[in-house]
Amino acid sequence: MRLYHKIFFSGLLVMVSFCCAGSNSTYITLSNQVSRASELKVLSNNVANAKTTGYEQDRLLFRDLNHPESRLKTNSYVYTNSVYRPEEQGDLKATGRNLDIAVVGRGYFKVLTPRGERYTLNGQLFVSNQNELVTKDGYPIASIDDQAILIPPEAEIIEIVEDGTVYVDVEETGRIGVFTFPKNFALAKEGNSLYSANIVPTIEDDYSVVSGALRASNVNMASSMSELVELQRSYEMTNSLMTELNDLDKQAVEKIMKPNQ
Amino acid sequence: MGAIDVAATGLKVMKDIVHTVADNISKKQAIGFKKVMMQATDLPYNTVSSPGTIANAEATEKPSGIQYGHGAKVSSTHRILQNGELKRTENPLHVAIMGAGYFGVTLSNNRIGYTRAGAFQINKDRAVTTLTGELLADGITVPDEIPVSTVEISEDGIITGIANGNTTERVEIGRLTLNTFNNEDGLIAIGNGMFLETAASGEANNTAATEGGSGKLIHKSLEMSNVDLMSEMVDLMDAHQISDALSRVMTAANEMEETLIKGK
Repeated sequence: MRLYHKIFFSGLLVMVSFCCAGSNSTYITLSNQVSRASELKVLSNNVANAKTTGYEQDRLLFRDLNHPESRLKTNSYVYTNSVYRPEEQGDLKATGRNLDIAVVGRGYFKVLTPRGERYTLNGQLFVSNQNELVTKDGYPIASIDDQAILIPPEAEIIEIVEDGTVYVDVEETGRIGVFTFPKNFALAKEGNSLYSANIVPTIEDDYSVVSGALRASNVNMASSMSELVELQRSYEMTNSLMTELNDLDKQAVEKIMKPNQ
Repeated sequence: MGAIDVAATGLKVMKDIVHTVADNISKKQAIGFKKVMMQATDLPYNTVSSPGTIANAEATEKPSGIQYGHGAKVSSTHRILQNGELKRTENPLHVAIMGAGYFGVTLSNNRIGYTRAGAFQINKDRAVTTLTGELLADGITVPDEIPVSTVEISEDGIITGIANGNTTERVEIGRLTLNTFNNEDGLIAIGNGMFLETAASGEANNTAATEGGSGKLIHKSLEMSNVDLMSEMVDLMDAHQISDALSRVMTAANEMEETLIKGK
């Protein structure tokens, strides 16, 4: 075998191994595209809920995923790890309605639904025809001892003060509970501004209840739009990388088919 | 549901908010009108993995799961029940309510309607009616010998007048009563400033004015709407900005899908 043949074959070998790794790189780039698509879905939901009372925006966390048997140990895929909610609170929006309340601090109101206890940041309250203080869906809001709060029918002025105590015509009638979960504990969203939890929250005293205002959504339009641009760029860049990888694969195949050229 | 559909649900909410803003502004001059606020809520979630499940590799509870939302929807419209400003009109048949009460009105099909618009007039039989001609449920008629211009209405609803030729003696004509509801938000609006009671509002409690939180009556005045143009404009600008953002999300999602299909 002549020298140039040897050189040619060793070169071909490198190309073929690149080609095999190439399919790997296709999957790696693909994992980025899938992640960006999920990210866009979450972002889209955030922006759609920019006017939702008490909405907390979701962010996706990604992590790298290695295949332990992989020849190339440095290869890792992007993988959706979990959703998290940044702790920043939405603005308070004044409504001037006594029964619109909001929590300042970490804490949620508890709602007594027929399906069990749920939590919410939406403090839009009404007095039901059963004389109970209820949410917009008609579920009673819980007091600190998990009871519905009763408002006498002849009530004239209902006031809710800083610690959540409800006064009806200067008489104390109950205290709305504000429940706190440990940090980094994610409540599962249920829709309809409700959260479910599988642990028992505690009552802390580092909160205050504001009457006459509602908690606005914490979605920030400007940062959402810059995130959108960023993820679009990432998608496009990875896309052109995929195109180039594909071209390399094609070239390798052509070279193998026509070794004399 | 893809990003495009999710963004579309948001656009629909924004459209409904703009609708409400338009409705509020157009009723700025309506007597006794209470502005309507639209509330949005999030749609159910698609839970890929719930928080608290055991993660395989680490064998610890995952503190958070993966949930994809389906967008937003309108959850409720409710009236902001703050009293509007009073406007002095000097009309002896105009009366405003400072409180939570409603006047009862007999509607054409014998139902009782409730209204806060106290702009009354008399018909050919000298019975007191609303501007649209429905009789008051209290059934008040101003006698022929009493000129309307002498009519006085006290804070607690007693209507008096001075008969022709008698310059001092006030004669009682009738009494205006008010109606309150356990859940005022549960009333249903039927137009013309008129409301009907529902199962949610509970039955009307008919009381004398100034009693049971119904409020006192202010004679020769009208309650204007409580629409505040500034806050309506802020809502409109918000909705506009969010709609813009949503259509950008839709465009981006569309482009990404196109790239994928073309496989460039």
